[in-house]
Amino acid sequence: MLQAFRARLAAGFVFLALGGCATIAPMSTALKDAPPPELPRKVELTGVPFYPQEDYYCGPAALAMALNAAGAGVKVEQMVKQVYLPERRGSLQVEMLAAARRNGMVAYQIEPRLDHILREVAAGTPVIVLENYGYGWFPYWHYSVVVGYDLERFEFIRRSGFNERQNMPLPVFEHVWQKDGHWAMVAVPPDRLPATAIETRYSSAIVALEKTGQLKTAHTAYATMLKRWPQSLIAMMGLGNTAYALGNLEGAEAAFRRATQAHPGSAAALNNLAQTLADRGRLADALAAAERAVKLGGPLLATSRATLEEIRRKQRPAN
Amino acid sequence: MKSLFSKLVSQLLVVCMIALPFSTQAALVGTDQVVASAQAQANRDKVRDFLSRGDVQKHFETLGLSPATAKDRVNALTDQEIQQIAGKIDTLPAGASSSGTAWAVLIVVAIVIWLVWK
Repeated sequence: MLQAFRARLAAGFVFLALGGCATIAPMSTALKDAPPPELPRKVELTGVPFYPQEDYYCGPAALAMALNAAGAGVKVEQMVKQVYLPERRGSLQVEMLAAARRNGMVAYQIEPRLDHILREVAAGTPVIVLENYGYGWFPYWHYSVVVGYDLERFEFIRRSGFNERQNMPLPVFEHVWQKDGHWAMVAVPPDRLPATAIETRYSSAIVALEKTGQLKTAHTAYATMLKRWPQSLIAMMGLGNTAYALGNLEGAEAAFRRATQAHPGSAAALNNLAQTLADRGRLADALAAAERAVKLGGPLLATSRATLEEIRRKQRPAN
Repeated sequence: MKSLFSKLVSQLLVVCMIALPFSTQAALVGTDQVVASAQAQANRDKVRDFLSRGDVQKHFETLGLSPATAKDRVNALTDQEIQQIAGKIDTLPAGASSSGTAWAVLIVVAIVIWLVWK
């Protein structure tokens, strides 16, 4: 299989030489013409561990390298159990993301841009990439980990299969990377933001953590998000919701209150503040917040009304 | 016997009438819901910006349709329909005014027309 891989790589070079890079590898061409000035010319993350593996274990191995570089302390065998599908002789992308979450990391699928891989590596984060060496009707998938780049020689340095340092020219990489939609991910601890993170994408990554019960990790990640985007409604709401789920009502109240102050038009923030205040026994304050939420209306009206009714019901015995 | 039965039914009805209004669970609004609504808003903004573009308006006028009407009607589309259009806008080439871009824009315009005037 490795021989076939080398042959394909060589074929790739010829193909690119014949076809010209601009049409086949537009991102590489753009990068060569105008390399981002803020990026160092050469980076290599020598601290990323290397676990040599057979080709079909490339998913678990790549994951273990990235996770351990982030400090997760996992073993390749564990990753095999978590992501490897014997029948497919490979691993699915969604499971790669899910396994990173299971091991306490934020799994962030970066935007499909070549320069974003460089920016993540320059910031010290190895990037797991999905390559395809086959053709449309005969795909041959492979995960590798980009641990460095050299803009002078215009190549990536990747941990791949049995190679600890495999160099690959950027246009060739772009060619094998584009076939499956430029898929690339990073695994970062919740107290650190990926270098290329954008608010909506990153918040979806944390919501996935929250939904799968990784509440503490999600809570930390929302706090990290709020540092970078202090006005983010999603971050404030997530911080409050995870605090609430962890039984920290005081923290939840503070987060929801901040959300209602920064976003007075958010019925979700008012509703959650009302619910939290009611749980803390502060019914008069809760009622005021719930009434404001109902007045705002919108698609959450049914929930806001239910919260208001419940608070009124709780008040009745006292009257 | 009959009176016992009707008593039972009436008691059951009373329970139902008290319980039903509260059957909608009062709960926290989940973070995923907040994300979804933020995403929906972002999609709407994206479509609105697209319809404000000069080349897009020209397409509408060529077809004898008013861009202003299109904008109004787009407001009435569901979040899913808006997402469909926004997704297509994302796939447009970033370049300025090559013929490829013009075609891609025309395709998105066609999708808008199809969704709006269907």
